[in-house]
Amino acid sequence: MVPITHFLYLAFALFLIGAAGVLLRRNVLIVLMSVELMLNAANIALVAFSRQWGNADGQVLAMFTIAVAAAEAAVGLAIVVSIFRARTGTDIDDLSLLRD
Amino acid sequence: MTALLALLAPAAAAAPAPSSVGATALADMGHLAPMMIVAVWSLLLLAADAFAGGGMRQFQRRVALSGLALAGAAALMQFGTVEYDAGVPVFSGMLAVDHFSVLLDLGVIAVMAGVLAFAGDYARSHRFEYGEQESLVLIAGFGMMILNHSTDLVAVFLGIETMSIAIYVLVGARWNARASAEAAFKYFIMGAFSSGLLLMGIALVYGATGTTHLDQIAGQVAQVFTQWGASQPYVDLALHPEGAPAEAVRHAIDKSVMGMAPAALFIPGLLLLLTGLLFKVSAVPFHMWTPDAYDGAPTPTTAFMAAGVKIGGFAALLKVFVGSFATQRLATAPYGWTSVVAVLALATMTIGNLAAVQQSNVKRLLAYSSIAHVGYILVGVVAAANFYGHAFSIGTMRAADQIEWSRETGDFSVAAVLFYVLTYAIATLGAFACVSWYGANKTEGTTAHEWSGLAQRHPGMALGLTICLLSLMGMPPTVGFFGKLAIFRAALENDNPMMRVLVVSALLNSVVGAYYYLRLVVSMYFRPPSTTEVPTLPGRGARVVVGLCAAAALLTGILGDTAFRRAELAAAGFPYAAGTERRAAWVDKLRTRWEDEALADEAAAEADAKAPANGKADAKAPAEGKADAKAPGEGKADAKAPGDAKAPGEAKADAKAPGDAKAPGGDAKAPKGDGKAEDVKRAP
Repeated sequence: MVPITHFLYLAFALFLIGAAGVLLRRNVLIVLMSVELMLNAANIALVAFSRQWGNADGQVLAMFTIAVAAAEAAVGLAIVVSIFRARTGTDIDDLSLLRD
Repeated sequence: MTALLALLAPAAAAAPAPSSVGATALADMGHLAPMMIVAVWSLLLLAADAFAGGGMRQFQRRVALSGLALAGAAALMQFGTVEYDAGVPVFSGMLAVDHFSVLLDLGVIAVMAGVLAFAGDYARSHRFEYGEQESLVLIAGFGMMILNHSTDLVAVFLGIETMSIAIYVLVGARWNARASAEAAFKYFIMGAFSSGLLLMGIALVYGATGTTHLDQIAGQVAQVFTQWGASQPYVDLALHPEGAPAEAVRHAIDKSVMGMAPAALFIPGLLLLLTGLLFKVSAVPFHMWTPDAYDGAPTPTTAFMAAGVKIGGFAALLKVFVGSFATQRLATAPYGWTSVVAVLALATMTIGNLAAVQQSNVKRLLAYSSIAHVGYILVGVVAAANFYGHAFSIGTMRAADQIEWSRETGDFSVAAVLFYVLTYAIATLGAFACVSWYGANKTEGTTAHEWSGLAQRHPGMALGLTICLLSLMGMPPTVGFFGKLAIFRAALENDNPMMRVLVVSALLNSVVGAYYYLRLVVSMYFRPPSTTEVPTLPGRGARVVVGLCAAAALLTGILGDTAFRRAELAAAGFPYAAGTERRAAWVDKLRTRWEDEALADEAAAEADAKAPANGKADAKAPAEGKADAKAPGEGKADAKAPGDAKAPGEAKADAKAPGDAKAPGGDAKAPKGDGKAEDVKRAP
C-alpha cells in the first residue's frame, strides 16, 4: 500500500508549481492552466485524506471541484477569447489599461 | 476549551429522524424557500432568454424583479419567527436556516433587486445589452445565499464559486469596452487563484480533522492540539537521543511525527483558508485586483460586487472563522489568527483610505473606499473572535458569569458586523447607482471634475448621493454612524491594547475618509457646473434606487435601535451549532430580556409623559437600575484586567450604560431620543 505521504508530496508539488505558474508566467493561457493545476492538486490531497479517514467527505468535495473547475475554465477561456479579439496577443503585461 | 462544541457536534448530527428522504428534502427546500425561488427564477430566465431572443428584455427584467419580490417576501416571513431561533439544519447539515442567514439573505435580495432595477437601462444605453444579465445576477446572488447559510466547508467553497463565476461573466459582459475584458481577466485570475488557495486550505483542514462540517471541526481542533501536546516527550527524546537505545529513538521519532502531523496540516490549512476568504472580501494585501476590477466592470456590476460580494464574503468569514475557528488556542493565543487579522485590518483601512484620497476617478475612489470599509468590518470580526475565544476557555479558571459576558459581547460584535455590512451595502449601492446613472450612450462621467456643480443641474440626485456618501463617511443622522459606533463599541469592550489601537486608528481613518467623501460633496454643491454636460441614464430605475438607498440610510439611522435589534437577534447564539438546545435556550433568554427591557422602557415613557418636569430624572432611573444590574459585569471586567489600577470596572459600566439606554428602543419614542443623545456625546 502506498502511504498517504506520497500522495501529499505529489499534491503539494503540483500546488506549488501551479501557484508559481500563476504568479510568474506572463502568458494568459499558461496562467489559466496553472490555476487548474492548483485545483487538481487540492483534489489529490482531498482524495488521499478521504482514504486516510475512511469517509467520503473529501471525495464528494473533489467531485464538486471537478465540476467547478470545468465551469471556471469555460468562463476563463471565454474571457481570454474576448481579450484576444481586442489585442491579438496573450501576454499579461499588455493588460495595462486599468491602473492608478 | 472546545469541549463544549465537541459536545454539541453529535447533537447537531442527531437532527429529528425523517420518515422518508424525499419528505425531508421537500421540507428542507421549504426552509430554504428564498434561495430556491432565486435558483428557479435564474434558470427560468436563462431558458426564457434562449427561446425569446432580444424582444423580451423588459419583460425578463420584470419577471426577475417579481421573483426577487417573492423571495424577499418569503425571507421576511421567516425572519424573527421563533421557529428559526435555534436554527434549522437542512440538507444533512450542509446548510442551516437561522436569523443570521435570513437577515443576510434579505440584504442580498435587496441588493440584487437594486442592481437589476438599473442594470438593464445601463446595458441598453451603453449598447451592450444581453439577455443573460438577470439570470447571472440571480445565480451570483444564489451563491451569496449559500454562503449565508453554509455550515460546511463544502458549502462555503461551492457558494464562493457559484458567486464568483457568475460575477466574472458580469464583469466582462461589456464586450464593446476593452477595459471590461481586462477587468474580468484580472478579477478572474485573482479569484481563481484565491479559490485554489481556499480549496487547498479546506483539503488540509479536512486532512487534520477528518470532517468538513464546521461545528465538528471546532470540536476536533481540541484533539489536534492535545495530540500535539502529548507528543512533546517523544519530541524531546528525538531531539536529544543521548544514551537512549536506538529502538526507542526510532519509536520516538515515529510518535512525534504522528503527533504533530494533524497540527502541521491544520495550521497551514487555516492560513490558506484565511487568505482565500480575505481575497474575496478584498482585504490588504490581497486587494490589488479591487480597484481595477471595480473600475473596468460595468457600473451596475461594480455596485453588485461592492455590496453583494461583501455580504457573502463576510458571511463566510464569520461562519468559518468566528463560528468555528474562534477557540482560545486558534484565535486569541499569542499566535492566533486574530492578531494577524488585526494587523491586516489596520493596514486595510489605512491603505484603502490613503489610496482613495489620491483618486480623481469616482469609481476608483469608491473602490478604494470599499477597501477601507473592509478594514473597519474586520475590526468587528476580530472583536467577535476575541470574545468567543474568551468564552471557549471553559474549565481553566473563568467563572460562569464571565463566560456569559464573553458570549454576550461576542454576540454584540457579530451583530455590529452584520449591521455594518448591511448598512454599508445600502449606502454603497446607492453611491454606485448614482455613478451608473451619470452617463449614457457610451460616455460616462466618472472623473471627479465632471461631478462639480451636479447640485445645480440635478438637485435630487446630488442630495441622494450626498446622503449615501455621508452614510459611508459615518455622519450621525445616517445609519453609517451607528454602524461605526457599534463596531467601535464592540471593540472597546475588550481591554486588549491592540483593540484600543485599532479603534483609535479607525477613528483617524474615518477622518481621512471624511476628507475625500466631503470633497466630492463640496464639488457637487459649491463648484460651478462643468462646461460639458454629461448625459444621464434614461429610465427611472437608477433614480429610484438612489432615492430608496438614501431614504433607507436616513430611516434606519433614525430608527437605529430598532434596526440594530434585528441584527442582535440575527447574531444571538452565533457560535452554537444550529438546531441545538443550547442555542434555543440562549436565544430564548435574550428574547425574554429584550421584552422586559421594552416593558421597562414603556413604563419609563409613561412616567415621562405624566411628569414632564421630572421627565429627565425618571427616564434616567431605569438606565441606572440597569447599570446596577450589571454589577456582575463589573466584577468580570475587573477579573479580566487584574493588573489595571485605573478601576476598569467602572469604565466598563459607563461604556455599557448608553448601550442599555439605547437597547430598549423597541417602540417607545422618548427614551430612544435620550439614548441617542448620549451616544452622540460619547462618540468623540
